[in-house]
Amino acid sequence: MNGKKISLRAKLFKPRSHDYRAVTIKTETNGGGIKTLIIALLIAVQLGFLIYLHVSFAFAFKWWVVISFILSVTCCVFVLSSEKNGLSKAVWIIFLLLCFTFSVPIFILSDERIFFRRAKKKYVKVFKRSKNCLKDDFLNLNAGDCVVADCEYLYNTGKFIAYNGSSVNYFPSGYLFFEEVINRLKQAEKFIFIEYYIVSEGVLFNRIYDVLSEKVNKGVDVRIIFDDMGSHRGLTRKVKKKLKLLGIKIMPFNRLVPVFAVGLNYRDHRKIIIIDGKVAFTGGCNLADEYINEKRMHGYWKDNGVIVRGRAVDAFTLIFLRQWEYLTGVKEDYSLFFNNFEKLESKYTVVPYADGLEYNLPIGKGVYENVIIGAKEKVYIMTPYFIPDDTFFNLLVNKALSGVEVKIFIPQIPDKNYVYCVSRNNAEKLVGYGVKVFTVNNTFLHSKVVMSENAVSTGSINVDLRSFYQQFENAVYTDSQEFIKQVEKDFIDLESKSTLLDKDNLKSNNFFYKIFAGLLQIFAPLM
Amino acid sequence: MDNIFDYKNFDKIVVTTKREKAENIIKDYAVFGWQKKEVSDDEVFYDVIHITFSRPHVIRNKDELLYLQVCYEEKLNKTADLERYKNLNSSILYCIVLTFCVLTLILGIVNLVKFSNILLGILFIVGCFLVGGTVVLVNKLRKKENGIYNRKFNCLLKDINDILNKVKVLSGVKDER
Repeated sequence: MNGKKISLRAKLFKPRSHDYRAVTIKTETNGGGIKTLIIALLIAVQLGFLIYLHVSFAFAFKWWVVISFILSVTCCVFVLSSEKNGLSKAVWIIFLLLCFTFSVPIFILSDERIFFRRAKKKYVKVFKRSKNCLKDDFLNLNAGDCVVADCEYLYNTGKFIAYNGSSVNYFPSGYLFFEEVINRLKQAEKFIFIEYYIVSEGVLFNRIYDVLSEKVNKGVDVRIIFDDMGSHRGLTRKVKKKLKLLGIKIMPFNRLVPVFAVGLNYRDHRKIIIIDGKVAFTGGCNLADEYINEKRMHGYWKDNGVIVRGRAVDAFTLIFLRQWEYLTGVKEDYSLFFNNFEKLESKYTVVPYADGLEYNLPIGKGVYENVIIGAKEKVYIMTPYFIPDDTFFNLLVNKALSGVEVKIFIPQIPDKNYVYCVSRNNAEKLVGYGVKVFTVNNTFLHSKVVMSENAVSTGSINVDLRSFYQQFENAVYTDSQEFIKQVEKDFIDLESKSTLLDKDNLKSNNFFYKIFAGLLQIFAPLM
Repeated sequence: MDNIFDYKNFDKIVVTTKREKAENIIKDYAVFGWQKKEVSDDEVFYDVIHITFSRPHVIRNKDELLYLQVCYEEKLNKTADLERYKNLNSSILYCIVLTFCVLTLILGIVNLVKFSNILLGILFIVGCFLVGGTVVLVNKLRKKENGIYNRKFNCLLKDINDILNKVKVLSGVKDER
């Protein structure tokens, strides 16, 4: 085969492998594991010290036990009256009461009304300054009732404008998506804005870097926002320095620091690329090799992407510029970046939108729920994780029992086993109510899509509590029938590669699995 | 960034496999469009090698090919699983039976020699041979296991062939197996 026989030396000095696998794909792992470990250890030490102090105080001063308990109960009342979702409330109350000697300071440090107060004020200033940047004319929409209602919801919650004169096209894989991204990047003349949760070195990054370096030399304004936790293993200091030296402006979101703060859990999960204000990209993919299957991590990686053209591109630009201003503090004239879009004749509605702590309501969840509520024939969902709250869960049950065809696709191969355990357990509960739950064979499904016969919403928003309540997300909503057909085709293709869960092949038939999944539900708000 | 490998125009993959399976692996991967570029020995194990493949970055039906490749690898690894656990149950039974035989024999001899308990000693020794007779049953179990293994293995081989046939159609590559 390779002309070489095994040398006697090799046989004598090297052992025989006992690995029974016939073939393994060798993948290069990202570094940064030690940095993660150190940070995690430091945070654990701080948390341990905080707990030790309080417990010691409680033992030393008996009256502190009583005061702690009273404070815990008071905090429980705050939790009950808060706008947190039901599961988070339950978890917090259990924690506050069971660990009352030290739970109060942890609760106070984690409450977003406290830790996010300054950041919220900053966002409010940014939003106020950019309030009237874009014209809104959603009331003139030519769309069905439920679509108009969805658009009204988006406008009232986040001032997201519904656009006609825009087009959306769907990419059913990360490879196809990034091929188009790279082609479009090569045509950039004015600016390139990139915002990703994960930016990771590898062949995809190299291909994009080559284009960006050429563009920066031609005077194109290139800006990258990356999440510091998502990218800390994939983007080394050396590469960040190289990008800066090239003239590319990069900003980390929510720096990963070795300090105990629950705010560390709040991440920028958005996936946006805007080129010259003419075209915008979003979807489920991050900027890393596994998303285009050039790095094997969890079976076949199924992802998706969307390209938006026309007037709606300005909405993406606004989302990016606001986040950029928040991070840099630099105030600039946004109008320089608007109105560069292609003039398209399209009667369909396109609404790019964002979600995050800067908004008062969980908009991503709201849009998904509205899409489901408006469905009369079908609801199809693709999600890598399925950890909804009660309202979302019950909505799906109601729809299935009302005769609507409800299909949910989750991966067969997980990326995080503990999250998958909870996701699968939640999904399996729906089987008994007539919801069709599919696991996609040999695949880690990373796409995030919720569609009905009327509309589709797709972007970075998972069907889980982190995406709904904690993370900064974005997506695009549309009623374009052409787009709906493209997405539906993807669902049909996926179904042919999936296994339908029924009473006989449920993992929750196993009693111990059920107990284990139930225990993990306590951590569901963090997953 | 990486000047050695032409990442713009080519994709790369490194497959780790046992030396004796390498030839078939190279032929199978060729059906997916992968061309062997380099083969290197593993640093630790003498019977393991790493094969570097590359293929053009832009090929038709790439997503479907990638998915089928994962399916193919999963089936191939299942054949290895089958081979490893082929006679697991009968081997465990063999061990239990053998251990029991040896123990009863020892007990029998000890009773005869040390405690001069002839009846108990004979009972143990006879018991040992009776238990030894169950080896015949264990052999039957082994034959059954081999039958099951052959059936499952042939199924997996058929699945692998089906996958490779689908791939041939998608990639238009000739099968040199």
